[in-house]
Amino acid sequence: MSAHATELIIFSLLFTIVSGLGFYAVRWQGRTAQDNLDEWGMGGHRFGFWVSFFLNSGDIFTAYTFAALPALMFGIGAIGFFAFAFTIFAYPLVFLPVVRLWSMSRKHGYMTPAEFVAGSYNSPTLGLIVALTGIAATMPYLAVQLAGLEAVLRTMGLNGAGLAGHIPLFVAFLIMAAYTYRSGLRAPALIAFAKAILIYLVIIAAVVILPTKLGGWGAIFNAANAKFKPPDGHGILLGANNQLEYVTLALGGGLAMFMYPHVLTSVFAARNSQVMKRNLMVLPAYSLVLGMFALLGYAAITTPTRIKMITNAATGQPDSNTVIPVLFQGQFPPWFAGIGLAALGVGMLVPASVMSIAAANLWTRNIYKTYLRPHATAEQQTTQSKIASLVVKFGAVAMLVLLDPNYSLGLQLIAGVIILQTLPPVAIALYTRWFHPWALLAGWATGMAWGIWMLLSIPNLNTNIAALELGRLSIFGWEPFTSSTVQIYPGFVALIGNLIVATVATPLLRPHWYLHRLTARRAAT
Amino acid sequence: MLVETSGELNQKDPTMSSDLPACAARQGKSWNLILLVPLLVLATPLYNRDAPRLGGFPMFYWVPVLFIPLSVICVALVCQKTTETDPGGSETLPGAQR
Repeated sequence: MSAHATELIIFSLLFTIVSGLGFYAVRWQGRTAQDNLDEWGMGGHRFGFWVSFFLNSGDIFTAYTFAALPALMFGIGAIGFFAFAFTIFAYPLVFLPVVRLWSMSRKHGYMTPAEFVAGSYNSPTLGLIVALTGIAATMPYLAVQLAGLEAVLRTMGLNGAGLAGHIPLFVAFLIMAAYTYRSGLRAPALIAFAKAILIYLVIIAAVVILPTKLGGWGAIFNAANAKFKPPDGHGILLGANNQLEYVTLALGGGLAMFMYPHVLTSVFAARNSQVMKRNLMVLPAYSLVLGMFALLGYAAITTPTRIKMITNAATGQPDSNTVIPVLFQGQFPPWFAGIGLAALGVGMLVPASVMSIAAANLWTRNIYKTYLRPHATAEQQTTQSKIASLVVKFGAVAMLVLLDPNYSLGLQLIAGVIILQTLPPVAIALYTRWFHPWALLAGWATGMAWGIWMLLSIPNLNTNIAALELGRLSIFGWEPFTSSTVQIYPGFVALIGNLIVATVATPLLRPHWYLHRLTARRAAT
Repeated sequence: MLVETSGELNQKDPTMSSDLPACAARQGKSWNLILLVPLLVLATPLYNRDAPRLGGFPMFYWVPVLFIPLSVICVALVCQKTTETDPGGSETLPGAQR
C-alpha cells in the first residue's frame, strides 16, 4: 500500500479537482441545467467549436483506447491496429450522413437517432427497437469503462478480493453518477478539457521517455517481433489469414462509431452545423493519440522484465487492462505515474458519463415520452432522464460485478456487433424511404441473431478479437467457404445479412404497389 | 410515391428535399467523392511490410499516419465547397448566443 502512496495522493488530488469541475459545470455558461432536457441532456445545444472538439474526442476515445487496445497489441500484435485505421477514414466516410442527420434532427427537435428513425418512417416501433438496441449496446460499453477504471485502481494496490474489492470503484463511480445527475452533459463537457490536457501530457511524455529508456522505436518493434512467433499467425505485420479480418474490423468499427448513442449525443450538442462540420474535419488529428497508445502495448513488451499483468484478486485471473497502468508505474517516477493513472481514470469517466446520459435520453424520448406519458412536461422528462442515467450506470456496475471482468473485451465486441445492426434503419432513412419499416425490423432481427450466434460460436472469444474463420461461416448449414482459414469480423457479416433481408423483404411487404406498377407499365406498352 | 401502400411512411413530409440540410447533397456532388479517398488506408496488402522503416517504425505503422492529414484535407475541401453554396450553414438556435 505504502509503495503506491505518492501515486494514490496525486491520483486522488486530480480526481477531486475533476469531480469539482463536474459539480461546478451546472453553473457553466451561466445556465441552470435543472428544468429542461435540452439543457440537461444536450448542454442547451450551445457548445462551440472547442467544447465540441474536446467533448467529441473525449467520448470517442474510451477505456477501449487507453487500456483494452494497448493490451490487444501487447497480446496479439498488428491486427489490433485496425482501431487506428478506422479512426482515420471514419470521419470523412460519415461526414455527409452525419451532417444530414444533424440538420434533420435540429429541424425536427430530435435528441436521439431513434427519434429520427421513428419520425422518418412514422413508426414508433422501429424507433423503439433502435432505442433498445442503443441501450443494450451502451450498457456493456459502460461496463468496459468501469473495468478499465478498476484496472487503474488495482494497479495502485486497491485490489481486494470479493465484493469488498469493488468498493474503491463504487466510490469513484458514485461521485461520477452524482455530478452527472446534477450537471448533465455539461459535466463531461467541462471535464473533457481536463482529460485532454492530462492525456496529451502523458502520451507525449510516454512517447519521448519510453523509447529513450528502451533503446528507440526500432528496438521496441524488434522486441515485439521477437515475442510474436508463428504458428498462431500473430506478429507485428498482418498474416495471410487476417488481412480480410483487419479490413472488415476497421469497416465495422468505422461504421459503428457514429451509431453509438453517446457519440451522436455529443455531435448533436454542437451549437450550429458549422461547428459540427469543423469538428468532424479536425477530429482525425486526435487519432494520433490513439495510435500512440496502441503502440505503448509494444513498449510494454520491450521493458526489461516485460510487463506482468496484475492478477485480479476477485477472480484470480490476470487483468489485461492493467498493461498500460503497470507500464506507467514501472517506467515513470511515482509522481508522474500518479498523473498518468489519473489521466487514464479521467479518460474513462468522461465517456462513461456521456454514455449514461445518451442511454437515459433514449429511454426518456423513445420509451417514456412515446409510450408511457406522451404529454410529459419538460421537467418530467428531465427527471426521467436523470433517474434513468443512474439506472443505466448501476446496471453496468452489476454487469461488471456479476460477470467475469475478463470478458470486458468480449463485452465490447458484442456491443459493436449489436450497434452495427442499427445502421440500416438510421443511415438509409437519410437518403431514401424506399425500405418498409417492417423489412428493416426483419433485417435487424436477422443481423442481431446471426451476429450473436456467430460470436458465441467463436472459441476463446476473450483472448481472440472475434475473428470468425470463413470456413466456419454457415448459412443454415450451408458452408460456402468450407475449410478456408481466412478470418472475418462477424459484425460485418451480420450487417450484410441484415441489409439483404431488409432489401428482399421490402417488395414482399408492398406487393400491391409492385403489381400496380407492373400493370401500369403493361398498359403503357 | 409509396405512401398509399405502406401507410407507415411519413405523411407530413413525403419529400426528402425539404429536409435537405444546408449541405452539399446537390451542389458539388463530384467533390463529395473525395471523402472516399481515405478508405485507401484499408489497402493493407500494399504496405503490410517491415521495410522501409521510418524512425524505427515499420512501413505498416507509418503509412496510416500519412492518411491523417489526407483525411483532414478531404473533409476540409468538402466543407469549404458546401459552405460556399450554403447560406444557412451557420443557423443557430434563437437565443443561443454565447
